[in-house]
Amino acid sequence: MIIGYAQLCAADVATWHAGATAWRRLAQQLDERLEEFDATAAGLRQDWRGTAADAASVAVADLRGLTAACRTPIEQTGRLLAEHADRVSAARQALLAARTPEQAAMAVAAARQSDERTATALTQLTASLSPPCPPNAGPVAVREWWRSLSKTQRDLLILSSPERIGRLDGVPAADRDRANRELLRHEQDRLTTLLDSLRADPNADRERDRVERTLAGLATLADRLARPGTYLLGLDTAGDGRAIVALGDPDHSANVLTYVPGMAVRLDGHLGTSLDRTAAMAEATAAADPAKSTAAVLWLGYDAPDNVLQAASASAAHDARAALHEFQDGLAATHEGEFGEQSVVGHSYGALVVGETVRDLGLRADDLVFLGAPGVGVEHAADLHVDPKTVWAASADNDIVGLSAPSVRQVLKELVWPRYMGDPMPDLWHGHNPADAGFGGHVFEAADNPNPISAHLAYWDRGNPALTNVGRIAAGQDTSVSAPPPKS
Amino acid sequence: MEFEVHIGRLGQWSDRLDDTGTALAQPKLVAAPAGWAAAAALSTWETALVGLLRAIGEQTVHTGDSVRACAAGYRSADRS
Repeated sequence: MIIGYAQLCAADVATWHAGATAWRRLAQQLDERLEEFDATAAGLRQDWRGTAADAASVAVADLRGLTAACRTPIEQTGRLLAEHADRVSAARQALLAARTPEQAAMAVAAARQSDERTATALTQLTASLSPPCPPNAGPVAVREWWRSLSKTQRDLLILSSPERIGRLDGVPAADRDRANRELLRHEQDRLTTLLDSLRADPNADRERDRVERTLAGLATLADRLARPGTYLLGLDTAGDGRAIVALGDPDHSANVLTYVPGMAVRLDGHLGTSLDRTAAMAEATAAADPAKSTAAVLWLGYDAPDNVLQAASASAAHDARAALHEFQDGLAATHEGEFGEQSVVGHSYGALVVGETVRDLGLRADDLVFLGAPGVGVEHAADLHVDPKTVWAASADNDIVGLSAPSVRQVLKELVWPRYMGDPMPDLWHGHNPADAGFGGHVFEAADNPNPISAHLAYWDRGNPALTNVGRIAAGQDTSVSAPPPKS
Repeated sequence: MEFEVHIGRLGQWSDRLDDTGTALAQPKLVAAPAGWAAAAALSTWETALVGLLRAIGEQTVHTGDSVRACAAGYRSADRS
């Protein structure tokens, strides 16, 4: 935008002055708010003592601090606009009084200069309170950007853009958690209001069901987040919903395990089952090495297939690769101190997500663990481009995933001749069975179960050697992992 | 830890927080004349600032709600 003669002649100086007055008035109003915060804080201190009172005092003090941080740039804006208005007014008068083209040009140049100067100053004010993250920044660049911000800038970003900060790999877990808890609260309010409106719409049954399911998932999350040491590292209520939850602080724990669940897992009232499995693996890891701290993360950061037909396609796993890759890099970027062991466990379709990510993008993990996998996108552990010694798999003999054969002939053979003569089926929907010795990784022991569906879901049951083994792998106790018993 | 509360007055402070938060969330400003680079920069700055004030305001109201919920909890505990 370049100011010309006509524009300067018609310049609305009064509106610039009115703007300056409005911003100065806003600064005065913020002074009043600050006084109100002070009065409220004093009142609360006088009328309430105890742990909850302390928490309320801290919250009010924080809000006062954030309000105060906004006040100074608001006052500066009023001053900038008043000065700009004065300069434009002077330039306009000079233009109207000009007797030569040079004098007119000087007047227009003065207006342009004021315009540019004011625009630059206002842009700096925006960046001072709401500093932008570098575009397309990876987790390390995000971490550096986040570290460069003041506490007030970080607090303002968490409060005003929780959906953006909460999902940003490279932001420390504690800050992501704060942002996502804000988001959780907003989403509960938003979806509750939405549900009320959908109840009155007879044509909105499907959307109403989805919102009800999501609200149940949010309630489950809120309940789990009340437990100490739980971090919400990601939340999205669109579609089937996504959630990333850490049990234990991943930035300060020595051993960090990431669990990628499989088919039909979504943000609904059943999310507690996936969280229970995550907790079981955290417990098993801590039991394997009690001297080291452990965090286990449920990574539902992708749109898992809803049914078997969808699970026969690798497209959901394809779509998940970049997010899982970045998430693991983010864990490493924000981790304080030495890692003990960083491991990723994929169950069922989640194993395919892990395999495809490792194969195509790489994945920051010392160990990969596949449980009840329908294949992991490769024919051999070496095709994952990692040391096959870091690849582990277990599949219960009767696990229904053993029926995910790529041909009808093979399914019939499996059904007619159960357990494929006692061995896991070697070829599955998404590649060679990683729990088959021919795959080239380690195969470890898992309890058998006569019910094929139960067998697929029982890896976290107490007493199942699979759970103990996952804990040992995640704790770096590789030599203690038990192999499957020899077939009789 | 020492615990003391004037339950009746907590309601008054939560109302104050409501009022403060509501006022914060509704800043009134004047649109700048179009066609100036400064106006465009001002609009971007205003959008960012209004978003921040709205977030602080909403959080203030939420804090008021939490104080109110504590008061209700104390009152109900007193009755039982």
